[in-house]
Amino acid sequence: MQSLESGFSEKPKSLLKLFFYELKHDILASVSLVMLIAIFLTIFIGAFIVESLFDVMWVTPRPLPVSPANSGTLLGLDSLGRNQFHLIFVAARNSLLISFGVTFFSFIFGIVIGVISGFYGGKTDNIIMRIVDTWNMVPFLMVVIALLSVLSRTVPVFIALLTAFSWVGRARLLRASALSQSQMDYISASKTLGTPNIVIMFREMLPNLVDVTVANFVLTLAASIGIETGLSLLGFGLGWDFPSLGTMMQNAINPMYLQHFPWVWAPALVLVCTIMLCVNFVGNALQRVADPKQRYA
Amino acid sequence: MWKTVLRRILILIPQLIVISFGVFLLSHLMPGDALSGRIDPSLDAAAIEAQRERLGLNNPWYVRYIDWFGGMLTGDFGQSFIHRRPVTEIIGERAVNTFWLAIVTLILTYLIAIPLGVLAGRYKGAVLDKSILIYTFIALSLPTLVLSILMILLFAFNLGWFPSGGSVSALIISEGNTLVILMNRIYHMILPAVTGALLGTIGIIFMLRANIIDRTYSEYVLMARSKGVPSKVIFNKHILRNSLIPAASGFSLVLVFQLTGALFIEMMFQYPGMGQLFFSSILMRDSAVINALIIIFSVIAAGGMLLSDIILTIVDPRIRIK
Amino acid sequence: MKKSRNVRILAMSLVAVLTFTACAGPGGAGGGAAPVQHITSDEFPAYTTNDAPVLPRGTGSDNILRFGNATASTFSGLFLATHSDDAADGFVREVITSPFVAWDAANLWTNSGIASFEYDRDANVVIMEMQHDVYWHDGVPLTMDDLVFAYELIAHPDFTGVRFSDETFIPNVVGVDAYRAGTANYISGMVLSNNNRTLRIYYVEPLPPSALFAGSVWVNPVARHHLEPVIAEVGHEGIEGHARARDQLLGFGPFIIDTVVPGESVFLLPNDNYYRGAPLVDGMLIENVPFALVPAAMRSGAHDVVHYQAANLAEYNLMNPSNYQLIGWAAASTTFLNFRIGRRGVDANGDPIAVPRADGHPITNVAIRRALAHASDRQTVSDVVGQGLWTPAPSVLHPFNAGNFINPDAESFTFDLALANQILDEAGFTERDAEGYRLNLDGTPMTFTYGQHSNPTHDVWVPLNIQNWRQIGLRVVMYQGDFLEWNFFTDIVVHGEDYGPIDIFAMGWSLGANPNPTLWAANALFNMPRHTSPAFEQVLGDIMSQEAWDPDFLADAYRRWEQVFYEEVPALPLTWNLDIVAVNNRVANLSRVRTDNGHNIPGNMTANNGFSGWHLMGLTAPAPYVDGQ
Repeated sequence: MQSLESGFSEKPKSLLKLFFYELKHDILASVSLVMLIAIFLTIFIGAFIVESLFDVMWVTPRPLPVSPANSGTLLGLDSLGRNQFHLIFVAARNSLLISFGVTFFSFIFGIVIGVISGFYGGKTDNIIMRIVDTWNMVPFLMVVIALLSVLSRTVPVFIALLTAFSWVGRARLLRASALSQSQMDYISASKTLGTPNIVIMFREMLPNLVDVTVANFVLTLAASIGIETGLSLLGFGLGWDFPSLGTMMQNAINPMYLQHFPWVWAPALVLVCTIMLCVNFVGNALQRVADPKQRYA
Repeated sequence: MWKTVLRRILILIPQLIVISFGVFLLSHLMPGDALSGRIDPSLDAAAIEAQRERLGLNNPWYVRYIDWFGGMLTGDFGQSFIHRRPVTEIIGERAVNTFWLAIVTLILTYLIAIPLGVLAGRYKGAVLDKSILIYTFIALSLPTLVLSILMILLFAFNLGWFPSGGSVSALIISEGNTLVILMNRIYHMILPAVTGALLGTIGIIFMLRANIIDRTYSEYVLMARSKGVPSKVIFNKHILRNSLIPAASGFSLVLVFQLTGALFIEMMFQYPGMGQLFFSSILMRDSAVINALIIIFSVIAAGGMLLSDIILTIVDPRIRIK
Repeated sequence: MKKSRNVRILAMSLVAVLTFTACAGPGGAGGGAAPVQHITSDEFPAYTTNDAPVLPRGTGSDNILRFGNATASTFSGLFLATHSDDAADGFVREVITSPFVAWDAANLWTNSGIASFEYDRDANVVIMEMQHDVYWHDGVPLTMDDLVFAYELIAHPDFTGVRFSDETFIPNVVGVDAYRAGTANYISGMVLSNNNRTLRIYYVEPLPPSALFAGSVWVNPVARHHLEPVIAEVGHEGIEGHARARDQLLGFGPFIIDTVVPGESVFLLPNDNYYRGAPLVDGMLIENVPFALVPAAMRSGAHDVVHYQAANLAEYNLMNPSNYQLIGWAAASTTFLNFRIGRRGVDANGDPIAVPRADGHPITNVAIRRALAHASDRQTVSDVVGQGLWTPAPSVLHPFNAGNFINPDAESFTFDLALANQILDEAGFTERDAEGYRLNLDGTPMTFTYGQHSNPTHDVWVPLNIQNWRQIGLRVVMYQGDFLEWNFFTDIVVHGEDYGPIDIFAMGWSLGANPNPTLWAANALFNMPRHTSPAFEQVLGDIMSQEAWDPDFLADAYRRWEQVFYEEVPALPLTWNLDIVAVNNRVANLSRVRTDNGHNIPGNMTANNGFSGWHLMGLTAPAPYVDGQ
């Protein structure tokens, strides 16, 4: 069955090969990819080491944060007396976990709904899209804030809330691609052959959507980091025991801290910006892979 | 096409009903009501209970929903517990402020985004393109609040060029000169609008750049080039004009984005608009206002999408809503 | 930890609802309280020093006092005293009115205001007489009839506010029941005479001694000629929304509302017919400013006067700017770390009462509470976070209203981990689990739930306490793992009927003039620990009894109260705070000795006679000084 279909389908050339080709021409993206991998590894390993060796959350109140010079540590202490250098590993790891979680789950949802909707088309598509539209209309930020102010601030709740609102975009995107794919011959061929729909959807069509999916996944990751940071910054983040890059940056809103105690918020800000920049560059390269017109090739 | 538009509007109604129900349940879920936050030991419990009865806070939820929904149909969103005034009045005042801020921000956004997007697309791959891209990425990753504070510190306090908050000065109003008042309002709007614009340009720049690049490699441009038409003419006549149009249709989406993103900007600049009203209502459990605001924002979002689609259809003959 | 949100400008005294009978004793003002002591820090004077000549009236917009309003909530615009109890609104109210009846340094009604005040105990009547000719802002004379009108508003069955309660003693006035039932259209117990310059209010039940403290009996008049037409137009329910209760409100104080930009700012013009003299400034502008921006705003000369927080003080100490002074005074608020020892149940009559916990939770064990108290490091937080503005509170009584009752030798809870450990060991909590936490006396593990609302300056209490309590082997966890949202929090701790789920929490509120601890009575809604005991009942009963008219008896009762509270420790008093205000160097004649029951607003004050001195403030330069000038 496979070989019969390969004559009808239009499977893209090896994605990986295309990707590396793009990278070769786009220095920014290749450097970003290397940096990202390095950063992620450092963060996860570092967090593990730090947590096993130190009690990062031990509190000794200070009147004001203590600079690196005065405290003898790499990044100084904040006003609760916590070592910022240790804290940033833990915070970064937490933020990344959340963002990965949100992106992953919203993709699962988005893929399922989008592919189903695009495959069946017609009435089913219409109904599903209307539901998705309604969901989309609700001002996400407002509702999240309202809910977060009353629900328990645990990791599952947080991930669930953010996922609930970001799966919509993925569903739309995949539905559009699925719609166009479903018109193609190899799909009709499978249908004629009597393959069960589910098999068609997820074994035949889905691999063809990978390029779009992966590119969007990476970009969504950047967006999730941004949202989680923003919410934490506002005070709607996770619990006090769960430091994240956003909570570390909360101090940047206070002019006094902004001007005089940069070591409290600057590392987190730099890290967030760096990660998002790198992720965006890599994501863009991936998108070029998916969209031939923008390629360097 | 108008049939489709009509259909879309008709669908809007059940959608809004569903949303309103969801929102109402949401605010009902939120523990505490407008009176539970009043911590004043000299208020005795009986007086608080009497207030609750009077405000109808003790009625079962379906009764309250029916009341509220019925009122909404006639344009009456109820009374704000905190401000002691009809919700429509309060939101009305704030809505005007937010609306004008959104318009000014919109104008500034396009003023910044269009040149940048065009340049990035025209000189794709060059240093200019790369630097503009970097600017957009920074704008993407920099939290709104941090940028707001930076702007306030620099322009309002250090340099003293702009006021740090508010929408208009009471002193100016008391003098009563309409033109001066208008100028003063605009003066207060500049800093928050610029902040919002700097962050909102991302989408437009990307879209413009992608469109221009698309067209640059399209067939009719290749043909024109092979005919020998000068680059500049090609660019201005063919590429630019066609690229700007979809960007123009996106304005309603951008407007919607501004209205919701205004939440943060308004908070930092103490700008009395709907965003700031939302935050303070959440804080003070003013459920009437919260419900009304969410509904209004949903309607705006839906309206924005619809408007954007309509404009796109009118402007680009290749896209027709079937 | 959390200061009360909606603070009323005239703090009401704390009176138990029904169980009170006052009786014979010396009449008139001065029921036993000597002048209260103030906490002042030597760093913070109570008044500005600025001898430069003041700008004359007519200078124009240079001579406008710019006040920064740094509260979390913006004013709602409803300034009418009878209907509003919002703190932010209260400030504007203070400036457009003047105390009708003044009070002295001991917070007792005195005769140096617009009207005199006297309570005749034998006849059970309050007598007030106007001593000055005062006019509303529209020129109409102010009379006692306007005060009668205020009572008629509040007592009306359609009244939409919360003032009709026992604190104002309005329900106790003769004839109010008939008025509310509709059988009378005036209150018979309020008798005018002497061309409407004298008012007698007859009461049904005898008034308790707390009626002599400022903020009890309602003494805020409302302009009848101005609001009665409104009632005819929109009824009592419509008063709140009408402009005449808002930006067109009539007052009789030193300033007149000119423009209100809703939620943002208020601009006021001087009232040249103010009975104490025309103000020296050409106007006053009140604007909102976010807390975090306050120091930056002051340094750039945006405002003349702003209230400072401890965190702002940290920045001040760092920058040491040259363009303003700090004025400080004792804050009229108190915070306690409460332990939930009981719940709010009902007694035989169906009235609410505190019922002890029946689930055997270790928090009911007084040794546990004492250990928790000794392990709470109030000194560090006071020094480090409070920046010198806070001191650990040694007593349940507060120097603001009970200064002379406080026993300087009383025992208090010092921070001593070793002592805390010892207390627990001696009480029998010697077994520990695998992680090192102590087990209950019956061998089961113990967990305490700590719930707290978030306030940036005070957040540090929680992790520090939890950490210290871990040191003495007690496991304390945050409810829901994080700080709680305010309404959610108050819904549980104030209005919740049951024990839980929070065992430990901090709560603060503003203080009234009367040190009367009715707050801790068994049936009080704001008895946060829900604690009661025979010893408590005994002492509280004594303080509120007939013999309390005897000053020596009262002083002794308060001493016993302090002792009982220390021994049973239902709650731990946290800190005594100083409020500070930053004043630009161009402001003259501003001083702050408690004038209006401790509301944190500066005003001018001479000789402790309790009137608002806004009209005496002046400016000595055309613009606020900027840092570096």
